Order: sequence, then C-alpha cells, then structure tokens
Amino acid sequence: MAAFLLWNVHRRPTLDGLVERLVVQHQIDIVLLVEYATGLSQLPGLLLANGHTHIRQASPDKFGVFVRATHTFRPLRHPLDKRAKLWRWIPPGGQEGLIALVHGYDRRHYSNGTRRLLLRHVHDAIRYQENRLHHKRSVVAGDFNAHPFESAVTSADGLHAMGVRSIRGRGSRRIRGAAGRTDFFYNLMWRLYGQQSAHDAGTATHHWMRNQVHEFGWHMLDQVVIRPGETDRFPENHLQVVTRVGGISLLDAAGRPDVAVGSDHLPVVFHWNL
Amino acid sequence: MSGLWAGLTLTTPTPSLREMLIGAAGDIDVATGNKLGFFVDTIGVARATKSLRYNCYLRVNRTGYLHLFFQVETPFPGPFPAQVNTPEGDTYLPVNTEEELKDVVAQVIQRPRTNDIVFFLLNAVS
Repeated sequence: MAAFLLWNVHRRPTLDGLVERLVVQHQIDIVLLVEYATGLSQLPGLLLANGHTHIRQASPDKFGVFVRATHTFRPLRHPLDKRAKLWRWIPPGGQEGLIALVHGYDRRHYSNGTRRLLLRHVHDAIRYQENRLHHKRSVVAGDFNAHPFESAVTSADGLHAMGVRSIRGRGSRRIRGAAGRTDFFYNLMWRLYGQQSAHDAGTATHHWMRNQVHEFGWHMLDQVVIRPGETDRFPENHLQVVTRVGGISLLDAAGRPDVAVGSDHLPVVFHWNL
Repeated sequence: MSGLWAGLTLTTPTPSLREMLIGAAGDIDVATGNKLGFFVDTIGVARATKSLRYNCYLRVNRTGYLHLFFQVETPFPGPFPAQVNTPEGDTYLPVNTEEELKDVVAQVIQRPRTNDIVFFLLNAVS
C-alpha cells in the first residue's frame, strides 16, 4: 500500500526538514507539495540523503513532487493551466493509476465560477486519459481553494466530487439537460471535519477569518478525491490531517495552523492500495 | 556629592532562555568555520501570551537556509520548566535549570541524526 503526503508548504523552504520527517514517520512513497519553493528548497537533496530514494519529478514550478525510486511516475501531456498536472503512476505491484495534482485559483482574487472552470478542466483531462488508458483508477489531490461543498468541487460543471460513494450502485449519474450519464468522484474529506479532538467542530486544513458577514473560519481546501470504484482500495481510516511532526506541534495554542513553525495549511496523509 | 548612578549594582542579570540556548549550541559557527550558525526565533503562543516557543534552527550562513533543529516551549514569563521537542520525536524530561537545559541540548547535538543534518547542510546546501 502506497502512502501519500499532500501539503501546501506556503513557499517556505524552512519546512524541508519537517517534510523529510513526515516522509520517515508515515513511510511516505509519494510527496505532493503545493506552493513549493523551487530553487530555494533543498528537498531534492534531502530526500536523496540518509537512506531516502525519493526523486523529484518534472512538474510546474509551484509543485514539488517526489516519488520513491521503486515507483514510476510518467507525466501526461494535456493542455492544462500550470496549476494542474497529471501523471501515470505505476507502483511496484504493476497496476497503474492516474494522479492529478491541483492548486486551485485563490479565493480572494477569483470568483467561484473561475475556480470551478479550472476544476472542470481537470476532470475533463482525467476523463480523456481514462478513456485513452482504459481504466478509471484515478485520484485528484491538491489545494483546491474550494470547500468540499462548494459548486467548484461538487457541481457536474466543476470537479464533480461528492460525499457519496455511489448512486444506486453506480459511479455516474444522470443530469437534467445533459446527454447520457456523468462520472463523478467520491470526496472523502467530508469525514475529516472536526477530527482534531478538543478543538473546533469544523476543524479542517486551513484557517482564515476576516470580518465579513459570511465566514467559515476553518477551510477544508486541501483535498483528495477518488473514483468511486477505488473506495475499497482507499482505506478511509488511513486518511488524516496531520498536526504533529515528531515532538513539534503544527498548531498554535488556539489549535490553528502555526505559521511560525509550519505552514498556514496542515498536511494530509492518505494511502492507496493499488 | 552622590550621583544618580550611586545605587547601581553591577550584578550579572539572569540570562534569558534565548541566551542560554545560544550559549549551549551557538558555537556551531566555530565548529564549522562559520559555515553554519544557530538561530533562535522566539514566538509567543496565544494572543494573551501564556507560553513561549523557541524555534531553534541551524542556518547556512551563506544562503540563509534554515533547518528546524529543535523547539523549546516554556511557560510565560518562564523560563522554566522548559520542554525540548524535536521533529524526530525524541523525548526529554522537562528541564528546570540552565544546567539541565545544557544537558538536554547536548543530548540533541550528540544524536547520530544531528550529524546527518549537519553533514547535509555543509555538503549540499553550503
């Protein structure tokens, strides 16, 4: 079973050591970093030292993707914005999957419609590759800059990722006004709201509070969604928002991400038994 | 005539925890020919500060690259009892004196892991 680390590292090379420790502590095979400090981070060396064999993969500058040498990662050419990238992943077992890494447009400067369009393009790209490769073993991970319940994520004209495994036993559904059936993703992140005991009920991966009428405080921006057919190979009890690296807490006294030591996002660890 | 300075007593003030940490681990610049330094970043925890975190970094002096080495958390104003934590999850008993702090910092420095970190910083980053 392969272990994945997803983390928006806030362009901070000072997090290199913490990333390396997470790789050790969670026996991570695939590292997916968003807002990676290309040119400043020393992870490409650090993850090849001290017994590590994680090799950086070609990706847009803002992504840092490191893969254990026993796994194969092949980039897929597809006309996508630099905020998204697709790979064919072949683990040692030989059965391949599709992985997309996404950094959605930020919430402050882009409308929900614009953010939704990027995620729709990602879904279109995955659908194209699934048809070409004749399988539906696909995962989308990243900082979506949208909540699991926002239309950018849930709507059929967005990523189309919902909190249900199937609808009448199928991973697709009919949509009024559209021909045929439309595939969707299963969004596991719904389970993780409020998972940190003794803290806020809506605890997620990012905390941001302003003074508008409508505020959430916690934002589940960092997500992993899968094709419904992969649920059996995707142990949901192994999906976690990480709040400690060894003895170092990534939270401040109020239970929010501590940017003094970590990032303004919390890491997510998940496993895929492909 | 007695001046205003007459009551001044030249006793050595108690060192702050930051100074104790620098005293304990700051000579890495000498040990590495000034290639690496020891940097302490003090952060108050919570809006009404109840505790302090001292994030202790090894710094590559030429590039400014920082590596979180260990962290010390103390009550405010402290400085004791202080708890030393590392990203590796090593466990140390709370320290209550400067001597105990030096002992724990010495244990952190003498770990094989510290040797790996310093070697990496000197060879790959400097």
